[in-house]
Amino acid sequence: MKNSKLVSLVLIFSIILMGVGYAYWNDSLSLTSEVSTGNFEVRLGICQSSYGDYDNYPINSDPHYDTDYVNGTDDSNGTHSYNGDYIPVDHSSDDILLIANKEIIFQLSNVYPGSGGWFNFFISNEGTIPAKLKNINKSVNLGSHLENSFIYKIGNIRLIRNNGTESSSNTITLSPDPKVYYTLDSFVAGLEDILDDYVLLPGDIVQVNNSSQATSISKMFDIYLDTNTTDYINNYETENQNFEFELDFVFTQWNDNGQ
Amino acid sequence: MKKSRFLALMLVAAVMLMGAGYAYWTDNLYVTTTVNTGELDLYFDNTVTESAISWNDDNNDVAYGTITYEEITADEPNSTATVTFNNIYPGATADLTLDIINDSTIPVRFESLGFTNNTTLSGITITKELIIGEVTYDLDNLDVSSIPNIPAGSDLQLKIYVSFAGASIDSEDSTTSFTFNPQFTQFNK
Repeated sequence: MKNSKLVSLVLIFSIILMGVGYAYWNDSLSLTSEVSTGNFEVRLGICQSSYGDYDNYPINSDPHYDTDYVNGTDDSNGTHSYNGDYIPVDHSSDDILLIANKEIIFQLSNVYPGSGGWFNFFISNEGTIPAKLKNINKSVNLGSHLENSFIYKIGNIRLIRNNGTESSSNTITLSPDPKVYYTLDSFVAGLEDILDDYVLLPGDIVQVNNSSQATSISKMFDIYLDTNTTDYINNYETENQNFEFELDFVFTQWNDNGQ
Repeated sequence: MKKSRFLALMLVAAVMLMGAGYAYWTDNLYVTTTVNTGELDLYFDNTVTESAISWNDDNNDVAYGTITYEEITADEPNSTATVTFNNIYPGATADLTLDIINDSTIPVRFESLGFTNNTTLSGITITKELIIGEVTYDLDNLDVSSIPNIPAGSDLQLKIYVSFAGASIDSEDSTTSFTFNPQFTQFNK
């Protein structure tokens, strides 16, 4: 009997407690958290490319190069069949390609001592977070014995803030004067040295070119077969050769935009 | 026990570092540059043999010639031609044209002719002419600077004409020769 009383009391007490529980007001708050990640995207673009005889060999004033004269059809030896200022380096129509804004392929053919080619390009930060050059990896795919037979040149490099609309207030000159390198390694190191000090904010553009295109060897990413280190007559090492190198620009995020 | 703790700590640290390494985003841009160089290459056409020598009609194989070609290096085959006219006699004439193939991909100019008459013999005349395009130049009276640049791929010819007109006893059983060792260079040097 005592047991049944005890059970009854426990039940009653439990029900009372339940009632107390229901008696309190309650409320709830809901926090929905959404994280959208940034976009890390740097891209390449091409402005211009060309090629030519860097000795400024003026075909129009050359009394010796006249195909009409050679062929015996021009007795006067006074007219010339070439209108260009230089005898051009042969090139195909696809001498420069931009692939998916990630890769530039630049091709020159029939290069001889005293000639070369160049191109201008830009790097833009199309992402939403700052980017910074970490390093440039060089690889020579063909003709590694020739890599120091060429002259390499870096012209003017400018960092343009605010979505690349150039003005005096938003342009930083990273490399004002043309820099000439006589080895591929020094060229890569020089390019790296210029570019790796600066953070590209979203919308920034690094313009790798020269505002003046008037003179030779004053362009941008420039490669030129050296006449000083190459024997004109008997150095067969540089004749009929293929030389190919790849530069891998590695960009990484940069969380500190204080530049 | 201490070792296992130390190892565990190392593992934890390593995993943390891995995490830090992967945490940064990267992006790559590539610039690939290909340069194919041209060529300056002239050499004798070695298919021109003794049969190319045109003798006087009544020669009847009395006078005869030999032509050999040699390389200076493996890169420069047929860069030397040696032509010999043997058993020449008064009244004999020989006419030979050697072809110089120009495989150059850039214009070429003569830097020097390298022409010398090593010996002469009384009564024997050797005429040497250089043919570029439609123009013929007399090698005996040629200023190298007057030779125009040779367009890429345009072949040359060296014409040799031998005539023994005299009957000098001094010319019996003797030898005369000349050498022609031109140096070519690229047009813009």
